[in-house]
Amino acid sequence: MNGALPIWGRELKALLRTPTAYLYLITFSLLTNLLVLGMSSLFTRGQADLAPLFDALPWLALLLTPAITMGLWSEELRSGSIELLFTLPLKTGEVVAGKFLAAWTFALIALGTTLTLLFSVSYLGEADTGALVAGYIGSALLLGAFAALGAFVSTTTRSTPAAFVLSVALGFLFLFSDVASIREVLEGTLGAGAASAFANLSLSAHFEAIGRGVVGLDDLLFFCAFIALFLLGSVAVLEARRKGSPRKSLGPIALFVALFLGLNLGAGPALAKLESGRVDFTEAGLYSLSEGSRKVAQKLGYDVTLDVYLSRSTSKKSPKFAGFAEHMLDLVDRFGRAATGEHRIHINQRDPVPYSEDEYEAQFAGLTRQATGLGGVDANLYFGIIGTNSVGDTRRIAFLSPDREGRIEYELARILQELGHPERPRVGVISSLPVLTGGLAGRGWQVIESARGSFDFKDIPDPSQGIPENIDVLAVIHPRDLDDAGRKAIDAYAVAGGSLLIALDPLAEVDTEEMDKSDSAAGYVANRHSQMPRLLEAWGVELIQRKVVADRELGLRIPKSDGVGELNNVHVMELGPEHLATEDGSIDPVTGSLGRLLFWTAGNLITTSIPEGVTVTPLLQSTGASMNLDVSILQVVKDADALLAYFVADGERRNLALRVRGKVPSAYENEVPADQQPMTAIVVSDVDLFSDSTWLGVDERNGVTVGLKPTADNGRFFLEALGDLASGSAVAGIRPKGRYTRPFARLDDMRRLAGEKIALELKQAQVKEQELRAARVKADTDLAATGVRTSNTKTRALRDELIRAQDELRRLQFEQNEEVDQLLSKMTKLNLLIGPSLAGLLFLVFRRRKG
Amino acid sequence: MIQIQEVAKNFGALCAVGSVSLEVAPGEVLGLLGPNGAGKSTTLRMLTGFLAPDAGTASIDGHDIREDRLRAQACLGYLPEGAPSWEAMTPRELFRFLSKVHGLAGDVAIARAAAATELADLNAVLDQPIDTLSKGLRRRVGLGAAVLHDPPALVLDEPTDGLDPNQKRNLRRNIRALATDQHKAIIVSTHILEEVSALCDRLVVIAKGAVVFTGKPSEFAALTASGQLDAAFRQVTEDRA
Repeated sequence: MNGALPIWGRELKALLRTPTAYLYLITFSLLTNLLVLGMSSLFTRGQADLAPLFDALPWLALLLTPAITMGLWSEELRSGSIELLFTLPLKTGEVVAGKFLAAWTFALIALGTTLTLLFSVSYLGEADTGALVAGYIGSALLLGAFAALGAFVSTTTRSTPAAFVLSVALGFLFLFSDVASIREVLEGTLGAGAASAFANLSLSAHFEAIGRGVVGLDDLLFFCAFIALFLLGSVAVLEARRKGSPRKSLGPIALFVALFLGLNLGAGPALAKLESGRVDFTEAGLYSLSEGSRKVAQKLGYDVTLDVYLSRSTSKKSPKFAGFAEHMLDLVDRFGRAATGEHRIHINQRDPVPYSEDEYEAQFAGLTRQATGLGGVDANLYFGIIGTNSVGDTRRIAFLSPDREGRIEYELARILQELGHPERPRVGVISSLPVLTGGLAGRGWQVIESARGSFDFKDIPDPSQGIPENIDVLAVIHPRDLDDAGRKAIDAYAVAGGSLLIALDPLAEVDTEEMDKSDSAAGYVANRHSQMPRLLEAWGVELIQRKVVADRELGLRIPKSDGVGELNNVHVMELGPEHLATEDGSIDPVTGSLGRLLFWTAGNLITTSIPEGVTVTPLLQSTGASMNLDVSILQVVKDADALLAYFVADGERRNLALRVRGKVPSAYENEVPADQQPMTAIVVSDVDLFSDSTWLGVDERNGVTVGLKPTADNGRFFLEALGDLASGSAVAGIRPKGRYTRPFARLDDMRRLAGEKIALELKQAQVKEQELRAARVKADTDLAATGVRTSNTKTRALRDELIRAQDELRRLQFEQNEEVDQLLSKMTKLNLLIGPSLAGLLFLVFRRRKG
Repeated sequence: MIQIQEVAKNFGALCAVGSVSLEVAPGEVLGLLGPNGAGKSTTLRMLTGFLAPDAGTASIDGHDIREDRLRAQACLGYLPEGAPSWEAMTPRELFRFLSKVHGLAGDVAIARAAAATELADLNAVLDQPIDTLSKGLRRRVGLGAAVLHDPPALVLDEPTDGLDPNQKRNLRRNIRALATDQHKAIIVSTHILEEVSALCDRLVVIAKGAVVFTGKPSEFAALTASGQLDAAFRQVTEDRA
């Protein structure tokens, strides 16, 4: 194939020589930027990814690749230079490959102009580099496929425009033939066979698969086969031309068609079966079965059957959803294959078409039916999983939704763990508070009571005697009076690889046992805190003493008693769903499904020196508008407004809960077992989080108290945490994958800083504007009531001053966004300029030097 | 050096070449003569591997064009009819590209390009895009391209077409020199009779896809009483009509 090289060089230079090439590059660059920055508003949508680019790319490639390839052969045929080319000592294949590579290279140069967008989003936020790399690999392959297709078409005609039009048309078929509406048209015109032939070779499905961040061997092979097919086709047509008679081309063309069909019928399904050889480029390893999942599948105590309900034809109406579904089915399969232990996972795929037995069962089991808005058999979409074990327990995932894609592996592992080990987990409780008996009517706290259906709770009144053998989860809630012997027992349990839920507090409002109510100030903070510093230190964690996290953004707002404005209780934090993601943008599986959490004087957990083999990950955090407030301030200052005077945010996000995992060292010289298992602990810096008064409100109907109702999801958090811990270290190790959001952190920071800078000024301006307006209203009212006109100059001055104040207010409001807006507009301009400038630079390099 | 054995080519129902055989020895210039449409170019295209013959075969320096096309073509310099080329290139770029294709590099490539430039007298236009050159100059570029890699066999399809009388004379002299001094086997196709006596050692006349005369130009002239080439040409080609 040495001969391909000079051909490649000559063709590429010829492409770069023509002014059309620069017209092309500039058009491509401008069009891309306009589509991505303009129509899809890449910057204002605020996500650090390139989804808009990869959405637009197939269209751009469809229109612009044929412009590169159209003249590749037809020009040689038209001008007769083909005769020179084909009497050189070169194999036809070499010439075909060289020309294809040149066209591809040029297309890649065009793709290269989009790199400015990549740099832009990486600058603005923290992008998933791996996923972006995969996206570019997919784009490069897509361009390659179009280049091969276009080159092939160009061998068949001497007319360059005909080659262009034909390439666009064929490209369209290969790109969109699997889109339902287009497929229907194709079936109507070309017949079902031809339609499915095109659909099987659909480029978009494979392009999107790679765009998700996984470069699968099957997708790679598909693109290679697609390119090879059309290169072979080109060779066949050209060899036929050498034979001189168009009629004699029929042989090679038949061969090409046979290859086409072969790829269609044989290779497609064969490729789909390829399971290994998948390189997961996503940062989170989005599409690989994690070690924890593998362990769960291997160590099932019972056989588990998973019935996967997917409305197949409906899901295929949307290539995006179909791609997601493929990945999910693949995930389920990988669980199945990982079940190599004593017990197996049986997987049944069911298609709940309307009025079928499968649909009835899906409905009966409570799977979610999504209305699609389509008519007929495709009106509803099911995609749920029902798991059963051999002793009749059932678990389900009602709907696998693409926006929760990252959680689904975890959820499946949980289901398998619960079905594989259906005995109720035992939770040992160590607490200085009567959590098992101190609730309503002598029952336990509501968090315990509502979890009794799933767990057996066992009080451990004296842990210094050792933790009982058969405890699955140890819940340590406010161990105020725990002595060192008790702590040593907990340490032994942790070192042996136990699962712990630990709730500590710098100030437990619920703990009133030792409070001296006669001295409200001193009593307020008297011995109401709990800590286990030595134990936590061994894990690399510390609860900051006597400090309470206060957060201006999360502070619970309560209307003032006089009805004007509201009080911001900065020491009571209310976390909504939008506050569940931690610094790195991830959401822990335990908190992923929660709505609202209430913390009451929570503490600040920090990491110190984390020992090797232990990982500590934030589970819940405050916002950056937070600070550590000394408990002595809370002791004195009771008024929320007055508390604000002490408030100075420092931009740091503080850990309210942490997850610790790994083989921990002992803090109390307990013996470390030889086959030490990793421990899992969830450490929460608030005890009140779980106390009834924090998250339960009085349920009144018609003025009569009928019971308590939750006002926050604190109880569910407790349940989820226990469930997570009980399912063993294996499941707990499965992090949810992918990020729900990848915000433009840089912009958020800028907005926040700008906001803080002008906060005071803004407030003053508001007050001034209000005063002036009031004065003006008064002057006008006086005029109307008394007919006494205040002096003309005075009213005019008042009016002018008001206008100035309003201008000032507007200016300040703009100012907050000004910096961000300026940056974005600068970046938009840069993006629009750089592509064409690069093209210009290339032109200078490759322009013909005057001899 | 060059051998064509009973090649035949049909384009659909049209018989372009019935059966043509000829041979050219090193140092010999063979004139391929015939009226327009006689099958000269088709024959040469089959010889050069651009077209596959329906029957028969050809070989260059012992390499069969059907079995061993690449070796045969490596021994061949070819100026196609009308001297097509890549028009956006300059002669210098064309030579550079062809050098790479023929595996020439370094000093050899430079020397060969210089020799080809000299032979085709291209010094003045070396850096002008080919599409800006006159018809005659393009033909000279084609000739330079054909001799660039110093092949033992040359096939020139109407090399003097479109040249002015001075250019024609120079070109003929150069072609003669290639045969005499460098012992190349050369086929020159033409329909211009004066070229034959000026240039060719031997003559093959084809008409309607078949060979109607093989021999020296003088023998060809002697076919008619007048001793005129055109009379002889008329006689052998119209006989077939």
